[in-house]
Amino acid sequence: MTDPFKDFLEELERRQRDGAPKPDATPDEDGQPPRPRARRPGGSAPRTPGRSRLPLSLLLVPVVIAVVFVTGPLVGLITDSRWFTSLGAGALFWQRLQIQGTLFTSATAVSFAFLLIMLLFAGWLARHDAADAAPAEQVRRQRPPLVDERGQIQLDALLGSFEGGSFSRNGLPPALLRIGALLVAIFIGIQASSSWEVISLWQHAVSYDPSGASVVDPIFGRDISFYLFSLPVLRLAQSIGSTLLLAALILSGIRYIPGIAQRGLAALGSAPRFHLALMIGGLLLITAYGYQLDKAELVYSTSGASTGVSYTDVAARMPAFDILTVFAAIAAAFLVGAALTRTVWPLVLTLVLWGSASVALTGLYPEFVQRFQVTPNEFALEEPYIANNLKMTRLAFGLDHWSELQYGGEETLTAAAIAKDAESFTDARLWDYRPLQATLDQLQTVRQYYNFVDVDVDRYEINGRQRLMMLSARELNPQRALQSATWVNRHIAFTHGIGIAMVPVSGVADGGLPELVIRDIPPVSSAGAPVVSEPRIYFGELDDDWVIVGAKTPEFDYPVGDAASGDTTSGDATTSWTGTSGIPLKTFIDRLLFAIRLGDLNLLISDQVTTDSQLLWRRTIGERVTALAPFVKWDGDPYLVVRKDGGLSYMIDGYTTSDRFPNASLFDPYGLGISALDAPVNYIRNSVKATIDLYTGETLLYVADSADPIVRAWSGVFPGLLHPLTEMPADLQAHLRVGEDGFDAATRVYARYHVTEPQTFYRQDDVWTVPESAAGAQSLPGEAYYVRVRLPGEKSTEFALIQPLVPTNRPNMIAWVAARNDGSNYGQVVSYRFPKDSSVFGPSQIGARIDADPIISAQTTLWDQSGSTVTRGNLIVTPIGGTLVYLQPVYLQSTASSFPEFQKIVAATSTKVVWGNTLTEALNLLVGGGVVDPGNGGTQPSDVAGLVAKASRLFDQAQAALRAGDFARYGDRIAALQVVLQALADLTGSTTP
Amino acid sequence: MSQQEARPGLLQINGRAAPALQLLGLVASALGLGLALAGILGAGAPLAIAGLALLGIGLPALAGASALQRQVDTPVTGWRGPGPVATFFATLPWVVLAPVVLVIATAPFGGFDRLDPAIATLLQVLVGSLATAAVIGLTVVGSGAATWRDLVSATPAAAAPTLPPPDRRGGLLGDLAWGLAIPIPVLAGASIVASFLVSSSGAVPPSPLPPAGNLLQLCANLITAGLIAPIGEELLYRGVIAQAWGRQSGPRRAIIFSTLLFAFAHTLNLGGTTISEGLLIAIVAFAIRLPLGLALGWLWVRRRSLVATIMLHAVYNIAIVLISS
Repeated sequence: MTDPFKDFLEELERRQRDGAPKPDATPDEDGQPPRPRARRPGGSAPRTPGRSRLPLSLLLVPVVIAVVFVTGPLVGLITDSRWFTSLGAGALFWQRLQIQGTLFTSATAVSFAFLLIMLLFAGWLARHDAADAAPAEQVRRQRPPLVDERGQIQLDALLGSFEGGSFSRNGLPPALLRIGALLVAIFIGIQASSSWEVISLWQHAVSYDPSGASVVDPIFGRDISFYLFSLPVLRLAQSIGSTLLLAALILSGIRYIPGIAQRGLAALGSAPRFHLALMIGGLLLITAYGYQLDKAELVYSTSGASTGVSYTDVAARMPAFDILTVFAAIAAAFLVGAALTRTVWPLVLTLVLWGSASVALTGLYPEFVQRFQVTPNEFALEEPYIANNLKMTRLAFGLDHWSELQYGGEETLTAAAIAKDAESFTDARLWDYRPLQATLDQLQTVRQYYNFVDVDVDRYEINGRQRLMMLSARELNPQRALQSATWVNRHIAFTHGIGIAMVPVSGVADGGLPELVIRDIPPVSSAGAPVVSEPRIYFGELDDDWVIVGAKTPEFDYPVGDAASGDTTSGDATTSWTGTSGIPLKTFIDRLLFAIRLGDLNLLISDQVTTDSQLLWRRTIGERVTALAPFVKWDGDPYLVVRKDGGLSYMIDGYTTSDRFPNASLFDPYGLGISALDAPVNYIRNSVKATIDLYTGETLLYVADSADPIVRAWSGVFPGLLHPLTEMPADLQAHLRVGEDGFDAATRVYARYHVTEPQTFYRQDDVWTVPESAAGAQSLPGEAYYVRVRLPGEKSTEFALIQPLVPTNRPNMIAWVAARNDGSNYGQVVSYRFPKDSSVFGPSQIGARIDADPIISAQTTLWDQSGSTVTRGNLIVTPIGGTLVYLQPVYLQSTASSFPEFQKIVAATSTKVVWGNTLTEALNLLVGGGVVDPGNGGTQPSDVAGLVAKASRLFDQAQAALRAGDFARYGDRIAALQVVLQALADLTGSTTP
Repeated sequence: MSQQEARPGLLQINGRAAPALQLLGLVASALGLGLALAGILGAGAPLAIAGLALLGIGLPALAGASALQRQVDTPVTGWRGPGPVATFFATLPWVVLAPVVLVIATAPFGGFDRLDPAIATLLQVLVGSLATAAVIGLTVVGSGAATWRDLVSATPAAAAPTLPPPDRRGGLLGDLAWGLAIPIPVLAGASIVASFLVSSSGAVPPSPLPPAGNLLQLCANLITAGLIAPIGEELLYRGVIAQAWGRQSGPRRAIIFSTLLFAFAHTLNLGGTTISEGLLIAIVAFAIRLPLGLALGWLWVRRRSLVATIMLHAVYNIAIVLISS
């Protein structure tokens, strides 16, 4: 292949020779000297042999470039739209694109038109001015042409136009100015389209309160929606406006430079001066308006004793911004006046005053007020502003709806109290989700390509009673399946995970293993657990590859046959996805598009792919919900739900947030493990719930908080995207819960903003915090946890999300917060506060006491040596009547088997720490006997005869179990016997044997 | 402008010594404009009012200064008063401030809010018209450019070579007859324009008058629209503005420019919930005033009598008040 560039150079040389004024060499019709033709190489140039090579080879270059640069984005766009269509949101994709496109084109067009008009205007005025000023003088000197007669580009001329002399005489070529204008316009277009979320929200702004009643900020009295929706847009408009006017000023100014250079600014005609003055005046007015926005944005001021408008802001900064507004506006008026009258001194005076006022009023004076007025008397002056901050922050994080109850918490725990709250212990969390996940991964993955990603806690109706279960999906892990990663295996055979594992949170089976009520492949349910009839998991939490369903080779479903006997391959069950929501690969074009997009040639050429095949792509929950609603912050932990129809769904909580709530403090999620939030916010609502069907991938979003103005505004932007919660199927509604990330954020704000007294807040002597991870490397970090518990004052147990709180710098527990989830109580948050001088133990104190307990410590140290490690789970604080019981499971993990086994449960009150093999045993030790296994119901006999009879019965059972070789049952009976004997001992007053 | 000319001191405008009046006007106008803009941008209504009041001093001062200048350099047959646009803007601040003046004036008697809306509008228009007359009295009559008689009817002093000789047949009765005869075709034309604009744009400019619910309100509206507004507006738009343009340039400019200012003034008190809606309403309100403005201008050029144009204006307004009630 010949070098096209070389060809090009040769051709140029040749044409320079041809283009020389040799009349005989140019067979032009009229015999005139040839005009420069450099701009039109393919035009009517004289035909000579060998020319035809050039255009062909040259044409290829731009074609290839165009193909590379256009195809990529185009294919990306088309494939994205196909994917959105498969997600059931094709219209949404185009609508979003349309919003951005419209913003870009309209902003660019309007800006460009404005700049062009300004340029035209300037050009016209400059010409007239020059003609008026010096009609005789030849103002416009001939510029050397950019392209000379021989068709060569004259770089000298181009550069020359930038050099001082020539530039100031002639100005920049108008074309360059227009290109500059276009670039500025495109920049503004990009700015507008990248702010599409802000602009769309503003277009569909709603009042803060759904009823339309105005909820206003305490300083300016504007509805909060002004700050959430309008103020950001006003700021954007102000910035775009000043960019635009500045560009117009510079471009027009360049146009006027020749005139100014020749005759000076003072001698410039009235019209150009007026034009320039109007633009500068406009800029000054925009600056003046900027001061007003600055004033409004004082609601975000962090100076003073609290976030938001403070005393200094009111006393010094607000008037300062008004005065500066006046100065800027007067400067604008004097500027126009100066342009008309050439009287400059008022303008200069104003500018000087403005400049010094700017320094004095925004810099020095507020400092002065702060230092000499506020600091010596801070609380007295700041009190109303602290009260504003308290009120608005509590409003912004929804804390104003939290109810507070006093809670003693220091009553003595008795067996009777435990019996009364036996229900709360039925579902005591003996399993922590972290060790359980490791255990499930060892016990239940069955094949190496499966993986339990995450264990979720949720409540289920089991045998007619609400029970707390832990469950996890067995997803396909392509990383683990890499050993067998042929193309067909990877994209056609291994398409899905299968089944789930479910364990009651209190279910410990033999050997400290989880009591699996849903297990194996295909999943088998027992003990009243819900039946999973569609266990296949095509969409999940795991990062996964794209797959093709409906290919010639059927999909691998699950291994059949005994893994031990070795015949795993022969008996594999196969299946074929029956969904319709994949991306169809009917035509060659479909396959070509996705082959390009996914960078996989096999997709195009493999005869595995048929016209019935569908592509499943971007199958993780995060990708799907984020694609549908990028404006929602999604909880880091989707949770698995077994539906009534036996299908599986994931549910995930979504939060609408803002950092524009007036006078509310920012909450910084950095380093707190709240994965939903990536930036500081000062407003959050758990307003969206999403459900994803694990088989079909159907992803639906529901509005969970219809009072939230942000979600109402988004519903206006994308009607049909967010469904009302009433449309959610009832079996999924039963699994709704308060999202953990949002609760964590609100609790942490509550830890500081539980106070309503400015004085207390100001003294900062009642600041709480979330107890950080308990002492010792053996313990897992504490966090908010879902439990089934009877809240004090309530009749029955319920599913609640609980977070204990401690004062900063003091380990005692000061309060615990419970978010309720069931039925009509959904979303209610109750804070149970201990007296301020409470000596109720906090988690770290309990942790320390556990560490210091001689029995536990000795045993733990013994275990935690080479060969095994001890892990303690989340410390669960359970309210029982008027006191608290702390429960912490202990797991032992052998380094060889590498899955944790449940060993002991630590039960503690503020006064006593014990542990037992079972919860009943531990509780009995805690209260000195009398506790009956809450799982079995029934009561302990209270008389000696009854106890002796029961002891005898238990002993018989234990013996029977021993004969049968059932050591677990034997241990259980003996433990129960020990409890009865303890009760007997208590009754008879003798010491424990 | 020669460089040799001695540069006067600080108090100069366009390189020459400025009369104190002009300087005062310039400084007051710029300060007033600045304050008014700052007030509108959000620094507070009191600032905007103060700014308008300053403008109400500065702009008439500028207009007066310009009239004094023209006394020197304009021939007697030309227009020696302030420029027509200057006069227009000089009257504007006080027309805008009229409600504020009334609020202050009625404060001892229980406040402006307690007045019947029709009466309030009447008073407002009355104050605005009086302010207009006062500014004209200061800048046009006071500067000696014209007498009140010159403004009202075609006196020999108001004869200009640029204008055709007036048709004064029938005298005062003729004026009244013209004023009675023209409104019918004008009303027809205006209603066609209005119905076309309103139906195509969907924007309906609100009536400047409050709706009349009883006879008293209707009477007040009739006095406002049929007497006070015509007199005040004709004095300004035909008496001064059309006259000024007519004597400067000719009848065509007199008619067209006075019509444009007349229509523009009727868009100033309008607004919408959005910028585009407000703009649309303003355009419609502007357009539907054009037929009347053109007719008034034409009649003034022909009769050169404010009696005729006031009659036309009054009949037109009364007809509209009666039709709409």
